[in-house]
Amino acid sequence: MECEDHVTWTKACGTSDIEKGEGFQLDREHPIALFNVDGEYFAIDDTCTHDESSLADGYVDGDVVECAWHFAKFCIKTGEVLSLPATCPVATYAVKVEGDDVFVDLPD
Amino acid sequence: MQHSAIVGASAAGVSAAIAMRSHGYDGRITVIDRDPHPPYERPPLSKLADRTLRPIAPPGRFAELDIELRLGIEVHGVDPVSRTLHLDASDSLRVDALLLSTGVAARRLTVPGSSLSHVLVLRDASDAALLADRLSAGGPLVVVGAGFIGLEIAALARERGLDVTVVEVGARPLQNLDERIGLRALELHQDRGVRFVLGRTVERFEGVGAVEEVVLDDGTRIPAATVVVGVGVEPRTELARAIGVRTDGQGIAVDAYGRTDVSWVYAAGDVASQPHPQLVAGPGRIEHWDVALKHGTAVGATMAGHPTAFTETPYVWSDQFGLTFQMFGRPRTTDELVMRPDSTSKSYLGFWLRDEVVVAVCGLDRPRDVGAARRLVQLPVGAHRDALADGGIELRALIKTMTRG
Repeated sequence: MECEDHVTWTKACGTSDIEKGEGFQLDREHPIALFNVDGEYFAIDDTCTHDESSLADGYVDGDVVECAWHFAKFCIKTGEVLSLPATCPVATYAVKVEGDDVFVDLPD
Repeated sequence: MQHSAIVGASAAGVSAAIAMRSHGYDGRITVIDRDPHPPYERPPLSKLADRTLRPIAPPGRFAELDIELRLGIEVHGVDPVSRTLHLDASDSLRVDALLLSTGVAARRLTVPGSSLSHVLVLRDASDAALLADRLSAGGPLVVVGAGFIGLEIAALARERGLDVTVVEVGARPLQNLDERIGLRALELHQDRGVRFVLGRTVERFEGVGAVEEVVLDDGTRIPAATVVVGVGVEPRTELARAIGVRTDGQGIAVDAYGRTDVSWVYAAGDVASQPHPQLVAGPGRIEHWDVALKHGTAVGATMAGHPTAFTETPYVWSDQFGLTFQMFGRPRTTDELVMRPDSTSKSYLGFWLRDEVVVAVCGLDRPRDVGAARRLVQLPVGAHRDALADGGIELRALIKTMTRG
């Protein structure tokens, strides 16, 4: 179980900001990409580990996001790399929904 | 133990090696390349022109996958009967299977003065290092050839403040694409101060030791501290021919699975002349990095005992002045290009139609739209032809409608 004491929930967006099959970029110094996979929300690092493209701009197919520049594929749920040219995974972040708001657990 | 050798630590060669392992091949894998650098990505060479090399895989990955790298090693000969590769210093390798991912070499000009110093081509890391030195030395720079490589180098040099002239034999840049795309590239470059001399060829280079002037076929003289020649490539088929593998005018002839006419020899990437379904005029090379990566992945799977045909839509991208051009598919000059109405020289999206089927899409500075629009390639346009060119219809919604049929 996650210890709530160490969790820093940050409001990312509203649920209506992320359509199914689309990404949403939380623009901050270290940008985060949020996705809606069949009504369930996930957050990963927004910057592709291969080059510097935004994964929120990528193409979503089920729980896979494909980077828009060079088509590295990542699992939205686990951050795992599924295809070259990327070779390193992206970090994942816990997400919770309260009412119409989506919160992400971000490191301080 | 089975032994597979891969000649060419290129995108195709490395992705094939990795794919062999991910498909359970447990024999020995040796990757050989004359280039001494750990396998690196070529696209950034013309997009950054600095000395940093971006590795195709992290340094530890090859050891982790038990893939042996033999770098800075030349294959001098091959004995097809005993399947032996002869390497440097009387070293040799007995192999059971061989993948040729030897790629292409930059075509050089043969006009007088072509061997003067500072007349460069750009293909590998050592070429890029030389170019980086020359860009630091300052202009003027003359680029011969207004294809993707030539335009990328011209843009880089302009961004660094050099005086740049591009000489192109055709009437516009990017001759093989629709006129509107070439003219937009021309406008973008001219806005940033790149000069173009179109419809002219190089008669000779002049200089004492190093190039000083480029003389064109109409007698025009252009001062040059550096020349970069980007006029196409030649396939590296020497090894294939030494083995007796069939080559055609384009490269090493392979089937859809990357198999040559010699049972133990395969080819992948730029050097392969492949029967891709989108090459409607017949087999040929597809010289795109993304294709090399995916072709290698398919052929590696085949070599590991999982025959995999390569049929994915070809993709190419090019970075110029901070804008990314992307294209999916292989448009022909006879295809009709339909542009979205919000197109400008700095941002556009277009679709090529052939017999009412979307055969290719392209965009400039529109990665999100291109990523969605690529799903239309090979789909009939049906009743949506007018909607493609209608700015009032939201693109992603249209694409979703069309892909649902």
